[in-house]
Amino acid sequence: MNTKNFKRAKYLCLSIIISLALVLGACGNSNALVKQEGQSQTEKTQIVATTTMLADLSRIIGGDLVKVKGLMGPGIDPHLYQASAGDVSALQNADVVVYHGLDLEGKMGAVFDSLSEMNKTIIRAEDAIDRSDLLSDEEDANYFDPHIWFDVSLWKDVTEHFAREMALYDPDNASVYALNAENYLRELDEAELYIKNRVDELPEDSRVLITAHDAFQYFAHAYGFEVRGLQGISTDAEAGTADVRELADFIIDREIKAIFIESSVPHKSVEALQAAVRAQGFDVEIGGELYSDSLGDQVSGHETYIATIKANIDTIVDALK
Amino acid sequence: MNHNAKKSEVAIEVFDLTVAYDIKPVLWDVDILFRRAKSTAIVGPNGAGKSTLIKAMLGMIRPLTGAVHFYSKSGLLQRNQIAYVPQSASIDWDFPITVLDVVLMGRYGHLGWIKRPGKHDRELATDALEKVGMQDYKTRQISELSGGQQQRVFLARAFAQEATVYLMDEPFKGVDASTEAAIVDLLKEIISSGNTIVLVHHDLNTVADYFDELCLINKRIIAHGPIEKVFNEENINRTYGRNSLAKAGLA
Ligand SMILES: Nc1ncnc2c1ncn2[C@@H]1O[C@H](COP(=O)(O)OP(=O)(O)OP(=O)(O)O)[C@@H](O)[C@H]1O
Ligand SMILES: [Mg+2]
Ligand SMILES: [Zn+2]
Repeated sequence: MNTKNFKRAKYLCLSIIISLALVLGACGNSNALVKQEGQSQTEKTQIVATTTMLADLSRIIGGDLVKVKGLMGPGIDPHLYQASAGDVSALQNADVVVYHGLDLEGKMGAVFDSLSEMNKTIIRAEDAIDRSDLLSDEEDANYFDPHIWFDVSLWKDVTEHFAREMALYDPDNASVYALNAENYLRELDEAELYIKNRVDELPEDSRVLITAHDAFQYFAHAYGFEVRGLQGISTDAEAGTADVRELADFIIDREIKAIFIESSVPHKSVEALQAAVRAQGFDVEIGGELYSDSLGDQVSGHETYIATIKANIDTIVDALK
Repeated sequence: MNHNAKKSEVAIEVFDLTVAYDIKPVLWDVDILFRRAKSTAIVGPNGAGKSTLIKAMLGMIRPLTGAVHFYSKSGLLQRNQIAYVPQSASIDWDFPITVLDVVLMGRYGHLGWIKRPGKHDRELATDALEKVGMQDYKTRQISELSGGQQQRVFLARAFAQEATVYLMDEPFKGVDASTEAAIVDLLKEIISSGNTIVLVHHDLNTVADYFDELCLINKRIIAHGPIEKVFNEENINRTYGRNSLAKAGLA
């Protein structure tokens, strides 16, 4: 695959465009120009990020140069999240808006459209991922699965993309974004290794993950699991009784030890599934709660991306072992 | 240990290090001491595990077993006191950043948070670029440079870091002869100011001129010690296979 070259060509172009803009003194970004005039060295770039994952990434790569506001709290379902009037004005006043894309923020499309009409600086996780690395929805090939953060190697692509875009936005501090990205990529390498080592503890035929909605396809693809979800990729449709019955048969057939609830999805469909299995005289545990579409909260200590994905793999492996 | 060293002379201690990417280890049972204020060449065939050893020492790869300690004169070394130059093939720099800014990345360890690089840092960075012959490229984008030029910029970044320990993975690959000579002078300067270098090298012709010590490796440590004791036909053959020294035109 020639994805590296493709990316390189793309960013080469971007960097040439930016340096031209600065030379001509034309429409460069206002933040960099303010700094060049030496006005306020300490003024931070105001970032508004939609999901908890992206707010975490913004803080890590931006460090002290940025102030980050995350719109969605822990446990919030991004598929269903509707922007409040306060959110819209925060987005409009931000220096940089960070959102996921791939239709994850399914109810915010109109808001993003209006922001792009304003010529706001926008960083989208979607743009970091090569099309060939995206998984499509089983039912609709034109629709991509947005849950890319479950594959750490894709999150590394998002990290690099984010740092690059910040360096283009604020070239004076390119070295800070580059260094923060370099250090964080190293931590992501370690986290990835942690996941792989934990997966190795499971016999291969136990690597089956059953959850409420189909969020874990990238996880499955990256780490060798079979996944089944009660709902489709998005949470906006309820699971039907036929789905529950079919999945119950699958669990009994494969003698699966545990199924999982998710932090940002109501638990009742998984509990119904457990009841359906038990009605047939077989037992399946609720193996614990997985973080799906948001990170953990401060109380849990899993408020960072790395802590969250480690907690998930611990929950999964400990329950299926 | 294959040669003795007093504790106070040790810069890096590697013990019982075994590394595997999947099931089969690529590096077995490595026990080695790197001495302070010495330069050590790591030499071995392609795939011998040289880059793996460096990365495992830096904690970039988690080993199956073993541990690595970096020592300062008085205790354990801080992370920002270790400079690393990756093997050029592993660098993929399409980041929108100027050459000078790449070198300045080496200075952040000295600045602490919040502080921005000042005049002194810029001078040091410019200095380092001059030393590797890249001063004319200061304001160019790193992505616009050739592989060899990029490698020189990363060397400059390591020099600007003013580190205590330098781990370098084939820094001479892709640089021209005059740059190589300039880099060798820099390495000698680093050693004479009491700092330590571990450098993956592939040119048997220059190994005796450039380095104090030699570590021959092929999945295991084959031999390690002062150049004059270790650099001989028998050890080279044990590392590369029979008659390899003759093939390299050195016998
Ligand atoms: N990320 C990786 N995943 C799997 N195997 C790897 C990985 N990196 C290296 N290896 C394997 O580990 C072994 C040692 O590789 P390493 O890069 O350390 O060798 P090297 O001595 O640096 O070689 P070279 O002289 O070509 O740079 C090789 O067999 C290589 O194929
Ligand atoms: Mg190598
Ligand atoms: Zn989801």
